[in-house]
Amino acid sequence: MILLWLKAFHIAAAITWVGGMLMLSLLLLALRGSLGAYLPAERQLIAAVRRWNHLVTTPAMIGVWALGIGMAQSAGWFGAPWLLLKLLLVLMLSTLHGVQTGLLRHLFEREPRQQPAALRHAGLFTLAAIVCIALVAVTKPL
Amino acid sequence: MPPSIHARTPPSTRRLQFAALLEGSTLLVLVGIAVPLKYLAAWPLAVSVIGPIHGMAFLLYLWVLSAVASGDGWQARDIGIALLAALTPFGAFAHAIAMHRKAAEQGATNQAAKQTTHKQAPRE
Repeated sequence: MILLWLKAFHIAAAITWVGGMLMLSLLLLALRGSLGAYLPAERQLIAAVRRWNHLVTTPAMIGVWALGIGMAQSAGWFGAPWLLLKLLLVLMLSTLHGVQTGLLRHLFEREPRQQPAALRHAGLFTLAAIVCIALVAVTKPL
Repeated sequence: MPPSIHARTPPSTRRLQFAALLEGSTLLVLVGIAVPLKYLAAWPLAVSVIGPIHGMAFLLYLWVLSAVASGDGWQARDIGIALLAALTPFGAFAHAIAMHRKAAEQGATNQAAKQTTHKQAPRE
């Protein structure tokens, strides 16, 4: 019974986290071209997304980790190859979210700067990773 | 009176130091206490408690590291050193001390630059 509760909150946290990451990806993509000073409306948008990221997206990510580890522990999944694959994907998504968060802080506190080229595909990567995670978690193929 | 080292250290570096110390401490408890208890005293409960806590601390360290490195524009070499530090016992502590020293040096350099600018300013 506890596993079902953990799973429900884990999925809710994952949806919130990925939603926030997609919003970050879109905002960073939209700000890519601007290298001069930001307009007041742009600054307001960056501040609002930063606040959301701080108050909602990042705690949701930590919730995903904690609930996921709790689920794996209570179901005895540690050591299963499918879980290792899922953990690797979560590690990559977490790192991407960290990079996006740091970049957003830089854009807010300092000035616009050239973004890493790979970040252009952050949204696509996030979607692909979450599809793979869902497939691996539901089918448990390995 | 010059500001304390704590005041001179940027918040992002302080967060990374905290995450490094947390990660290093949980790794030490896992490797130094929980694993020997499991294999020498046949008591696996410690590993099943500390293992997940260390997993969370490791994920948090990686996340904070990627945020700080991306926000402050770290070189790939520095990121590599920080990652290596996370994987070795005591490595995270050494890295936290190194970050503390670097912040102190940076603070001293900034202070000296401010004083030089102040001295060179023309008098009215």
